[in-house]
Amino acid sequence: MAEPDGFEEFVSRRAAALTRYGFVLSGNPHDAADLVQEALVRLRGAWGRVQRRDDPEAYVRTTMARLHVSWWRKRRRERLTDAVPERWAYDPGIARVEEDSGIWRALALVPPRQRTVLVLRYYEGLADETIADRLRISRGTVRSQAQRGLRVLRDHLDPHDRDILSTERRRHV
Amino acid sequence: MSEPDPSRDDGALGVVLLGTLNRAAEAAPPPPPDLYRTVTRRYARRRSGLVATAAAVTVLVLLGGVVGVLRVIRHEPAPVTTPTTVEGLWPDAVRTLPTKIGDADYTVEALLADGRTIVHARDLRGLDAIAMLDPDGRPAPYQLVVGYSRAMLPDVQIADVVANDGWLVWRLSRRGSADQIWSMRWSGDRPRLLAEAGSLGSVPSIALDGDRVIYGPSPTGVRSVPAAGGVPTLFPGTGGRYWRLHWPWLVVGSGMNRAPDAPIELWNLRTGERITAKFRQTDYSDACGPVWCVARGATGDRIVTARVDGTGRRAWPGYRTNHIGLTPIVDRYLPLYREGRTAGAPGSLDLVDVVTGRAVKIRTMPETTPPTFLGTGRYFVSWLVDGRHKKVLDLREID
Repeated sequence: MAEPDGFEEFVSRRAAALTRYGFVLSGNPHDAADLVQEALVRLRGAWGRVQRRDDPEAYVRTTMARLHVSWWRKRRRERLTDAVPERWAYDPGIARVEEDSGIWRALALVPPRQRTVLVLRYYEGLADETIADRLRISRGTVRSQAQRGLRVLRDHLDPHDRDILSTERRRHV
Repeated sequence: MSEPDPSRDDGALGVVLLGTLNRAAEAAPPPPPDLYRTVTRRYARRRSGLVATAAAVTVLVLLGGVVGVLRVIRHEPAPVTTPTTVEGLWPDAVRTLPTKIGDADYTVEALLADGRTIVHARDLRGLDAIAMLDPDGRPAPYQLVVGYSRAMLPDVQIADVVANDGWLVWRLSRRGSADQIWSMRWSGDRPRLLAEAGSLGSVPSIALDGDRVIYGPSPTGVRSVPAAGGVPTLFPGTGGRYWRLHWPWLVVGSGMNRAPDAPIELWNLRTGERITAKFRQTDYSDACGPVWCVARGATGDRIVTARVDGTGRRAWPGYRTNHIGLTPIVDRYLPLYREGRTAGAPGSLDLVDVVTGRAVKIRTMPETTPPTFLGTGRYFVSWLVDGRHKKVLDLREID
C-alpha cells in the first residue's frame, strides 16, 4: 500500500507533543498511547482530505479529545472514587508533579468530559467557542463543564494543598 | 454584549492547574519509537477487515471425585458474519428520522452533535421553514426554528442552510432583490441579517467555519463575515468567475456554465495555494472537488473517479448516478446505484469509498423510488427506508 506524502514526517515530528497531550487528557500513559495511535490511524485514512482542507494537528487533537470522552462512555469505567488510585503514587514522573500540589491527584477524580474541557482550556489555551466546536457541544455546556470540573478540583484538594491557592505559594508554580 | 463567565473566574486555581498540566506533560513518557509502523499496520489491518476466528476450548472433566480424562473439546469456529450494510458497520453513525414532519416533505441540512437534526421544509403548514428534530421526539416531533409565510411572502425562499453546534445560518433568495444571509445563535438570540449578497444562484453557496460565515459566488466575489455580525470582508480576486465553494477551496470552472476544454482550477482561500486539476471534463455533469474529480458521462452510468492530480483513477462499472455535479462527500464517499448482480435481481444503493475502491450496501433498491429516495449533504447521506422512516448516515463518524 503506497504511503501518502508527508504522513510519516508528520507522525515523526508530532509524536512527542501528541503523546504529552494524550497523557494530560487521560492521566495515564497507556490510554495516552491508545489515544495517539487511534487518532493517527484515523488521520491516515483521511490524510488526503485533511492535508488539503484542514490542519492535521488540529484534526488529531480534536479526534483525541472526542475519543477520550466517547471511550469512557462506552467502557463505563468508573474512576470516580473517593480514593485516589494508589498506583500513580509510584510513577516517578507523576511523583514530581504531585510534589507541587494535589491538583494532579484531584484531576483523576474529575469526570472525563469535564477534564477534557479543562485540558482544552488550560493546557491547549483554546477559547470556549473552539472547545465547543471540537467537542461538538454548545458554548454554554463548555462553561458549565469547566465550572463543575474546577469545583471538583477545589472540593478534593487536601486542606494542606489548598494553601497553594494563597498568594504566597504561587511563586512555586 | 457578552455575559460574564463565572467559570473563567478561576483565580489562583486556574494558574495552578495550568502549571500542573504543563508539568504533567513534561513527565509524560516518550512515544514508542515504532509508532509510525504501528499506525500503518493497524490502518492496513482495518482496511483489510480481518476478523479473528474462535479458539479451541479445553475442558477438564472430574469424574467421581477423581480427576478423570482430560478432554479437549474443539469448537467449530463461529461463522464469521461481517456486517454488510452501512448501518451494520457503523450503527452509531446512523440516525432514524420520520419521512415527513407535519405532513411536509423536508431535506436534512445539518446533524448536530447532541443528536438534533436541522431540516428544511418548503411547505410546513404554509411556511417555508427551518425546523429541528429532537432525537427523542421531545417536546414535540419537531420544533419550528424559522418560518416564512408562503402566502404573505411568495417571492421569498430559503435557498441554503448550514449549521453547527453554535450557529444556524441560511440564505434567503428574494425574487427581484438581492439574496440575504441570516444567522441565529442556538442559545436563543433573535435572527440577524448579516449581509445582502447579490444573486447567488441555486448552488450551495454558504459555509460555516466555526463562527465565521463564508458566502458566494456573487458577481463581485466571495466574502466572509462573523456569524455574530460585522462588516463582510471580500476575498480579493474572487469576483467575475463561475465557481463552486468547497471551503476553504474554490473550484473554478467545474460543472455547468464552463467551456468544455477550460481547465479546472482549484484555489485555497486560506493558504493561497492554486492548482489546475489534471482532469478533462467530458460532460457538463462531470465535476471536481478539492481532492477528487468525478466523470459520470451524459447518462450517469460511466463513472470514473480520479484525484485532482490525475492519480488514483478508478472506473466503477455497474454503477450509476442521477446526480449532476456529484463530488465525493467529505472528499471520500459517493452514494451510487448498483445494478442487480444477476438478471432480474434487485439492485442496491451503495456507499463507495473512492480512496480504497470498496463499497458497502446502504440498502436494496425498492421497486419504485420517489424523488426523495436519496439525499446528500455536506457530510451525510440520507435514504428512505419505508413510507414512514428515513435514515441518515453521518460520514464524519465513519472510517
